[in-house]
Amino acid sequence: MKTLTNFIKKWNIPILAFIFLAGFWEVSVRLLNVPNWLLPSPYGIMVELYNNVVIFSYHSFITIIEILIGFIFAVLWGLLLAFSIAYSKHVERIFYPFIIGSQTIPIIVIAPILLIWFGYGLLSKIIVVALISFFPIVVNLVDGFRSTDVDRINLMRTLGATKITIFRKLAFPSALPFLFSGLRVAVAVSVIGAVVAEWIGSSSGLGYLMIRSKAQFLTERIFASIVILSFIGIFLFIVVSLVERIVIPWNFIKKDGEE
Amino acid sequence: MRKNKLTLKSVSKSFFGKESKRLVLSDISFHVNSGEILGIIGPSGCGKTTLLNIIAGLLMPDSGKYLIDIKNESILGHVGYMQQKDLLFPWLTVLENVLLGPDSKNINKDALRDKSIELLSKFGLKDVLNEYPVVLSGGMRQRVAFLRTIIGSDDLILLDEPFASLDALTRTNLQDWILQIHEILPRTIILVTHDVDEAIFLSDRVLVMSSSPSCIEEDLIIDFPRPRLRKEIKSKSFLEKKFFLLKKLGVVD
Repeated sequence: MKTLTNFIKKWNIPILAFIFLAGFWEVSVRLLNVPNWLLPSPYGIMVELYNNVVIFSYHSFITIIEILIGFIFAVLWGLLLAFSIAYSKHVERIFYPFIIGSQTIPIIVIAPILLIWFGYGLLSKIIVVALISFFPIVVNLVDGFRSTDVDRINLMRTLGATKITIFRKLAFPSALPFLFSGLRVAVAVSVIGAVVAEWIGSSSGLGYLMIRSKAQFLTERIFASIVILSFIGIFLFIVVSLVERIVIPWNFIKKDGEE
Repeated sequence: MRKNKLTLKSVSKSFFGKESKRLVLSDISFHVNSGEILGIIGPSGCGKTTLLNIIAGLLMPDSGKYLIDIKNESILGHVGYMQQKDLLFPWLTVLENVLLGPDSKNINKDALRDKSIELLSKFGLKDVLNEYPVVLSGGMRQRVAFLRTIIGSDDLILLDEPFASLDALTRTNLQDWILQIHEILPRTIILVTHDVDEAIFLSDRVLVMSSSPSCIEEDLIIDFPRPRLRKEIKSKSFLEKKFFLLKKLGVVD
């Protein structure tokens, strides 16, 4: 009960703002008689979701799978790269320009090539998701390693720590808040990656559903897909934030006053 | 007769800028006896921290001899160094912070663990053993940092203005506290400070460094009996010593 009250206290303003906006949208659409194919009302979108729950579930499932697997690969690949860059100046010199360069090419032009190489199935989508979301992970983690406090490094040296111990006990834990900032950005862009990849070519997933619905002027269905996608994004964001609280509780003590 | 713990002979150190070379320590010679507290005072920027960095093994001197009485070859890992900031790790609890030294060297820490708990309890930190450092006050943080230095080193301990960031009252308490610890756990301590009162009150000898490029200008013996009492700072002899040192620093004529 107490947690519920706290929750409402903390979120009352955004919730109210959301309800107000949805209400405004609903009333405007009805009063102005906007046709459904142009702009459906929030209520209409809910009805669409309810009536076609099987279709939406299937395509959402596909998209979520792509996002999750792609994201996990991005995390593993990102950690590996960031560790190697932190460990060796040579690795940094060789790979870092490529990593930055890879992000200057828009994912939307890489996706068709990946489609040619890896086919219409899940694999090409997973690769696109991994490609787009490993970048914020690597960059943030490398920044985290670089910003390790020099005085603390010297302290560890006077305590007789080796380079590896300094990394394990100091550089890595102090970079964790940076890693989680990167992960939060990464989950957000991973949703974009999955949808873009599905747009370019696929036979399932929410991106595919939107393209197909566009051709049929099923605007309600497009909006319903957008609602689901944003919920997936928000949900993953919350999951990352919860994991962060479990992994680095010390980073939250001050902000919450007590805990 | 006390043993020589550390001897420096004509140690010099320069830093190189883009085009210039700046001589910081020109000719530093002194020694510390085992179990002694040696205070070092000097004007800002005279290279006190550079000197401590050299003794701690973080920097190499350009020239000069440097003899330290430890069994091991490497200085790093044996000389304790407490810097101005407490540098506690926010992701470690108070106890884990104190045990950072043995933990980093992978030596058996069970005995040291018990000792740390005993010391922490003795000095009013029992309730916060398993708390993260963010909940501690400035004075408590400094105590934890000092205990970490003691637990993580053999005998010689370097203190670089350990109480500079604290308010006057907390600083006074910590000075008494350091003396208490020194009674229980005799260590050789080199204390760099800006505070002439602090240097006289805590030390067996006070060195005065000249401004950079610096050398040792004065080596003053402080012969007040131990354990030291607060009221000593009002004695005539204390004031005379203080006046003498301030004169050496060029603060009074």
